[in-house]
Amino acid sequence: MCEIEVEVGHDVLEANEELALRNHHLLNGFGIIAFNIMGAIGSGKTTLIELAIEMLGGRYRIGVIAGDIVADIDANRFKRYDVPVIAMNTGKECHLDALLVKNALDQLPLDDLDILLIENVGNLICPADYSLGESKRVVIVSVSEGDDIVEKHPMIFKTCDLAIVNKVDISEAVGADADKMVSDALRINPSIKVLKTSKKVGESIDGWIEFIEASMNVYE
Amino acid sequence: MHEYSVAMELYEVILRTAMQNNAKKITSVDMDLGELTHINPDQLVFCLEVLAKGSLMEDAKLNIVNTPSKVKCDCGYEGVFATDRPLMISNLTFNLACPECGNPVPNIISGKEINVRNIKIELDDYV
Repeated sequence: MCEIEVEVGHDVLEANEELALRNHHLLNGFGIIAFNIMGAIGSGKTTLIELAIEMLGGRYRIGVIAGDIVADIDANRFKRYDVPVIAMNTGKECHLDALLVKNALDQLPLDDLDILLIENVGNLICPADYSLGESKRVVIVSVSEGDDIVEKHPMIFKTCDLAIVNKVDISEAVGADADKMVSDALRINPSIKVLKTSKKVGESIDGWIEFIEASMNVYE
Repeated sequence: MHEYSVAMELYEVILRTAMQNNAKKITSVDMDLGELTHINPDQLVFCLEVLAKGSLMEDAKLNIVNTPSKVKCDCGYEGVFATDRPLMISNLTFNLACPECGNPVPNIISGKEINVRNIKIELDDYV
């Protein structure tokens, strides 16, 4: 009997990065800008995506990937806007990965899209490690998660282009300091853009819409 | 957080490599796990052991080396993060800055590995 050593050299995150890069090239080829929208359960990801569809749907062709343990509920909310929606039921997964997104891209009419909004699984931890092929990474937190939520999850803020502190209209009721959340995000990542939003205060949503519009300019 | 799905991917790669090399059994697996990944080594080993039951990997020794996080900063510093405690996700918070110049976003050059380096296998006698 003999024993030998075999080199394997397979890295899980590197393999995901390679696939994500392929997704990115595919999207680039169609001129699509993709947004990976991350945040905890109940932070407001679905609502902010709905508002983006409402306010930008007239000018851009938008598609959505809804990722969740059971994604149909959010997907049905998006379908009301008559946009192409793929529900990714991740089953046991706590995050979307590049392979799941590749499978969704195979089902989307890429020829007819300008913007792809990808709603990740509600979680501030696992999605930080996985690229999907997006152009912009967005993290949403709400004041009801407590004003130490940002400093407790530094990795996701390090890797994002935009941080949204949501539901600021209830800051006082939940005893959270929204400005502390903003400054924590900027301390962790000085180049991140930070917005304070609330669906109840209409104009606060403008910054979110402007961020998407500014991201589109590369193709205009 | 997602140890099971990571373990599944590692298990599939390990088994595929073993079978391609006509292994009779896998005796050991050497893995690297970066301290900046959100993966708990004990849970990863537990998931791999569950998956290995009844497979070529059942009796394999699972060795995990925790790789330290290192940065390369624009200021010229290259090395580990300065910390007086073991660097864990739970106490990272703002410690990810360059220890030399304080830049909060230095390039991370190691610490994000979830890697199967190599496996040791016993070969089938017929080969």
